[in-house]
This record gives sequence, structure tokens and C-alpha cells, in this order.
Amino acid sequence: MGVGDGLRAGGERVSRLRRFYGAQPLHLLAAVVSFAIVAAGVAGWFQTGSDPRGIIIWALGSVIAFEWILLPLAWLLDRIALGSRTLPGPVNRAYVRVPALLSALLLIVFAPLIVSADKPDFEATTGFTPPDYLARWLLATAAMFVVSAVAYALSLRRVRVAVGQDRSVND
Amino acid sequence: MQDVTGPDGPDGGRLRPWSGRSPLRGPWLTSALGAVLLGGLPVVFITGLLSNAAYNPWLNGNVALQGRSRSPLDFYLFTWPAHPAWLYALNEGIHVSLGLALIPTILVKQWSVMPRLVARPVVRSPAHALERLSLVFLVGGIFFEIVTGLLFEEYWVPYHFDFTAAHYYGAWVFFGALGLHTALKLPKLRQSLRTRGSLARVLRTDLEHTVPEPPEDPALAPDSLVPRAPSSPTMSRRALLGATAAGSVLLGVQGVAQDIGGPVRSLAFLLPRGSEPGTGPNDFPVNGTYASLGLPDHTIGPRWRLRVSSADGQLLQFTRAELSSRFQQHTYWLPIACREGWSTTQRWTGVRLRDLAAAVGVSGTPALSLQALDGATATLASNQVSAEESLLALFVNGVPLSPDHGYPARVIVPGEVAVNCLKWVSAMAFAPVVSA
Repeated sequence: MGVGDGLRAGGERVSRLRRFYGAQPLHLLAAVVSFAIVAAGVAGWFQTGSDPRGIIIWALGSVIAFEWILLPLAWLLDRIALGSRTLPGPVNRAYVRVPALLSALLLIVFAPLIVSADKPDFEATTGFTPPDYLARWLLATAAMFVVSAVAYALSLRRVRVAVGQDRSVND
Repeated sequence: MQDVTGPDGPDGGRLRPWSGRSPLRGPWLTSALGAVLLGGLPVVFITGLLSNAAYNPWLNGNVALQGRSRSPLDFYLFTWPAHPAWLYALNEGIHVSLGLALIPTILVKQWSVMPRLVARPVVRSPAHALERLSLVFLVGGIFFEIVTGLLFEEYWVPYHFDFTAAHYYGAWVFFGALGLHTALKLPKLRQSLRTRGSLARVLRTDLEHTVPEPPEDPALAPDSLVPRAPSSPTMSRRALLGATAAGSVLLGVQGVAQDIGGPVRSLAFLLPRGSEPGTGPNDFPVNGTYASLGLPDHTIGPRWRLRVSSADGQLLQFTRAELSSRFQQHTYWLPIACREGWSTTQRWTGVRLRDLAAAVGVSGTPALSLQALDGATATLASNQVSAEESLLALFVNGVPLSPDHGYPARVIVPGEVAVNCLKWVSAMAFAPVVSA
């Protein structure tokens, strides 16, 4: 058997692997390296001395909370607040959506402080009683809606000026 | 012809309407967001590893992972330097601020690929199965890092595991998966950004001119991101990117402000370190009050003594008055830099650590094991002990330390994480370096 035959047999093995596996051998190599690091990280979780079930619940729970609760909820609220999509032509909802999304972002990120779930720990750590984060968040939300309303008013004015110019050209 | 199931799914998007029909979705949008994360997340990862290295975890008694794990991921390549003094404050400020700032991009990118989550068939080949399994670790990993980081930052601990270790290994879980994800997607990312649009054009396009991205070749992208039946746009792509950027600024500024402190601290209006406790010389942020230790008051009264020892059995005891009268006092501006990403720079006065070493007859460059009244321990590396600014501080801003800031005496070391700069120090043992 010549060298060429060996190469051909090897090539056939590779293409058979490719057909079965669904990607190039390099893909498999990358996957093995990646999963080795992932596995070392997961093993680390199991070696910390604390119950790793809690860690796994928090990791998967936060994904599920975002993809199967928060996103559908945001979609639903959007539909309720801004109506169905049957409106003719493009309707700009950004002026409501953007401040609402930013407000929701702040609420999610700073929820422990905004709902004051942490008062005893907070005081023991910082030495002062927590300020009213709920009020701060509401103020920030109000400010963002005001900015958005001003931007909307300016855009309406721009449109009106543009329409006015069109008319004067037509006149 | 084979029927290729589009992103709307076999039900045309009726069952999961939030996951498929937005006209903004498509490879360009996902790639643009991905490029931001590809630039930012490695920086968060590396500053996170450096933050762990700043503990010198290989020294006895230091917190972090030491003694709790024998993972191959616990490797330390160097001793944490003592200069520049703001090194840890900068590193941790980047870690926390950039981590905060990337949250909106991560959420929007996750939204942008929702059609993939519900695509059918679930698995097309062993290779595809591995990719999808890897995504569980990728997405689970990053969400775990975000949630634990935020809860730690906001002093709410509803979980029963050790934050430091879980956050550290979680970063490796995520980063292992990100390696594969990047290797697989980088060609598509580059191609999409080159051929499917340009940022400049997207930023010039208003709502009226916003159109779905061109459809993908179904042979190359069986789980296409561009919807088959897009709804009409209700906001422009630039409004979505603008909202994402605004969210990054809102969050990132909080992180930067709490790290820089001083006049800009109040910009961190939704973080615990967004306010100074007052205006007096001791009114700068506290981490752990004396009252919270539950120790009787006389513990830090006149009967307090500092025990200073050497490896060969020398032992001296000092009262606070002796420490301030028998030793030359030195004053330096140094930051306390917390692993929560905030810092505060103050003017500390006290005894050089290396002078205390000399007092018990230790020459050269010893390591130093510390013990505090609250049971905390830490070991400083020899470069930290011999740094001239490293102090056993007795005063701050010209007055004695307050109990909350570590009265009778606390350690302050340039460039070091605050956890290792113990307050309420009770014993110091100079010794040759003992590694774990």
C-alpha cells in the first residue's frame, strides 16, 4: 500500500467523521478545549465547600427569568401600553419605549436597593441607613420621560417646519 | 424542496410572539452587539482574575479561594505589586464599571438571538448539539456573573454559597464557552459587519427608512435571525442602539463615580457608595462598622495591646500611645480600594510596617501575617511590607481613627485590596514567606 492510498484512506475517515459529526474536525477540537475549561470551572464550583446546587439554580434561574419571564412580560406590557401592530405604516414608539426600557433596566439592576430587601446588611456594612432608592429611581424615571418628551416635541416641530417649507415651496 | 423552518417557527410566531418578528433583528444587529461584547468582556474577565491575584491568594490566611479549592484554575503567576498606589482601585474600577456598562448590550444581544432559542429542529448534528450545550454554559455563565456581581455590590445575599469562589469559577465557565462561541461565530460576525450594513448608515437611518435586513441564505442559515414575516418597525435601529448606549452610560457612570469618589461620588446615586457619610475627617465610606462586630467597647479601650512577633520568638507588646510616641510617624495619601469597585483616598498617619519589623529584630524583607480583633486574618507579601508607604495607621486626616475605620490601629498598604488591609489589628507576625 502506497503513501497515496494511506492519505486517501485517511481523507475518507475524515470525511466520514465530518458527515457524522456535522462539522470539521477542527470544530471538535475547539469544542473539546472549550468544554475542558468549562468543566474545570464547574468542578471549581463543586470544590468551594458550599452547596453547588444553589449555584446551578442561580445560573439557570437567571437565564429562565430573563428569557421566559422578563422578555415576554416586556412584550406584553409593550402591547398593552402601545397597542397592537395593526396600525398602518411605521409608528414611532421609541419616545415611550426608550425611557421605559431604561427605567426597567435601572429597576432590574438595582432592585435589591430599590425594594430595600437589604436594610440590616446595608446598615452593618456602611454605617448609615439606606437613602430612599425607590424615590431616586422614580425621579430618574421621571427625568428620562421628560427628556424623551422634549425630544419628541422637538422632532414634531422639525416635521412641522419641514412640512411648512414644503407648502411654501408649493405656494 | 425541503421546508426550512424560519425564525417564526412552525406556528408563525403565534406561540412565542416575543421571540421572532421584530424587523430590527438580523445578523448585522447581533454582530454589532457581539463586537462590543468581544471587545469588552475579555477586559472584565482579565481585571477579575487580576482582582483575585491582588489578594496574593497563595499566602496563608488570605481570603479568596485559598485553602478551599485545588482547582487547576487557581494559578498565580506573580506577587501583587505595591506600586502604583492606585493600582487596585483602577483595576477594580474597570472590572465593576465596565461589567455594569456591558449589561444592556448583553440583554439586547440576548433579545436579538431569541429566534435561535426556539429554532427547530433542536439538534441537527452532534456538532450542533455541542454548540447548543455550550450555549447553556455561555448564557448561564454570564447571567450568573451579572446576578451575583450585582447582589454582592448591593449587600443582599439571598444565596448560600461563597460569592468570591462562585463568581471566580463562574467566570471560567463563561469564558470557556465564550472561546468556542467566538471561534465559531467570528467569521460570520466579520462578514455580517462588512456586507450587511454599516454603523454610519444605521445611525443616519430614521424610522421611516428602517427596513428589515436582507434575508439570509436558508441553506447557510437554517435558523435565520431575519424574520420571514417581519412586523412593521415601531422604532429605528439607531433608537435601539441609542437606548443600549444610554443604558451603558447610566450604569457605567455609577461604577466610575463610586471609584473616583470625591465630588463625583454622588453620580453613583443608585449604589451604596454614592454618598459620603458626612464631612468630618473620619466621614468617608466605611465597610463593616465596629458595632456590627458585636464586640464589647473595652476591646478597643486602653487595655488594647498590639502584639508584634518575629519567626525566631521575639515578642513585643505596644500600647497605642507607645506606637505613636516610640516610632517615627509617617503620613501618606493612600486609597482604600474595595473589591466592590469603590475607593476613597485619605491622608493616613502611622508607623511604617518595616520599622515594626526592625523593632522585633527582623531584617531583610519578611512577609507579615496579621490578625484582627474580629478574627480576620491576612498575610502581606514581602514587597508590600517593605514599601515605604505601608503603614500601621493610627490617625487619618490628622485625627485618631474612628472605631468604624479600625481604631486603635489599621493597616494600609499601597496598591492592595482593602480586604487585606485589616482594621482593629491585634497581632502582627513577621515571618519568611510561607506559601499555601
